[in-house]
Amino acid sequence: MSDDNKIALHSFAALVAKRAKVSSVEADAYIHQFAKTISEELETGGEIPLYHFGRFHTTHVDEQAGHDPNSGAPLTIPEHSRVHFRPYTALRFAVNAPFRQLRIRELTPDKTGWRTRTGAWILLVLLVLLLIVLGIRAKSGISTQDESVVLPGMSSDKAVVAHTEQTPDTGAPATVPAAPVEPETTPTAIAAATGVIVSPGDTLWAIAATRLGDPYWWPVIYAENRPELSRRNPDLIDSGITLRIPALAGSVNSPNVADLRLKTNAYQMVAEDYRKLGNPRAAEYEKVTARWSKE
Amino acid sequence: MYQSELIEKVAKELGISNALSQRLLKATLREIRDLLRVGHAVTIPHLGTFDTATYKEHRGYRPASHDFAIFPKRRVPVFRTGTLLREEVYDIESDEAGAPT
Repeated sequence: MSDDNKIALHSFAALVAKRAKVSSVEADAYIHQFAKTISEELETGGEIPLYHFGRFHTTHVDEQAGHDPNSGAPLTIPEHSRVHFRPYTALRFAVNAPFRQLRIRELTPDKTGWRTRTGAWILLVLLVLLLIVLGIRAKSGISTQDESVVLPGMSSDKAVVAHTEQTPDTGAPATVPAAPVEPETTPTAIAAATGVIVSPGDTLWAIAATRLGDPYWWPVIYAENRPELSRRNPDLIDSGITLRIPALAGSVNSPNVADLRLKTNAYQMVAEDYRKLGNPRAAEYEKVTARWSKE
Repeated sequence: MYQSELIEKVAKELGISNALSQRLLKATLREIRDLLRVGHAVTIPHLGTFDTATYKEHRGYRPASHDFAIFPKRRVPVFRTGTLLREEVYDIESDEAGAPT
């Protein structure tokens, strides 16, 4: 019990006056009358509930044996009444605000608590769903590869033929030779046979890697389509246009002399275009072209 | 005595309107609550002192589950009856004079 946190009556009355928008004299008179009325009611043994605050009431204390604290002599305490104040929950919550976040701790920690926690279950279910989705995707990837070998509605011997045609071209998975097997299926298949529609994000390098099997052959595609490309810039192609894929006499892994000449000419063309654009990569391409021309 | 009766009685005694009495009662109780919230003590003359007590973290019994647990640190409002009120209420059953208080 310290005095440093006590509020003087006059300052309390001033606070009440400010809150109720009355003069502090009125507030002071009110506080005194309030206390007087409550004590009168308690003297008659009544009780006073105050909403969201607390309840004043009296209890009866029976006669009991005690002792004089000074002399230690036995003493009989007569029956009497005493005042109680029971704070209601709203007041308790307000007063306990600084420690509201604290919780009751178990003496023996419960290790099965996660079972009742819904978050853990949701996480588990999400994990399982993720694994299922990944499994389905992996499986569908395998099945599409199977379809390229054995197309539905196709006789088995023809599928074998298609497969044998593909075998020498090991470096090109799902490439140009696969498409002519069934060119009358859809317009996209026809487009795939003759060329490729550029979608946003595509590059000549990527197209050469997927369609020809070797990304370093991209100047060949560029040279083939150069008349249509108005930009004359090997680094910029518009999405939506259709690029023709040149048919090679051999393949990228075992090229003919004609293919090599085509490649050399394409590199030469790229070098010239880079030079016109002032791109410093032109020197590299010219060096490569000069080396191949000597061979 | 209900709160409405208290309001009417105080209004009659002071000669003010019931509405003003109610406003003042609300202001008083909320001011006490707000002062207790920030840890102050308020003494009302002739009635007693509203104060706060802080309980340390302690082991306690939970009757609902019949076990013991660690209860967190908490602060509770307490009311200490004033001497005048205590002596007035002391012998409301027996009007024996000379009852020690």
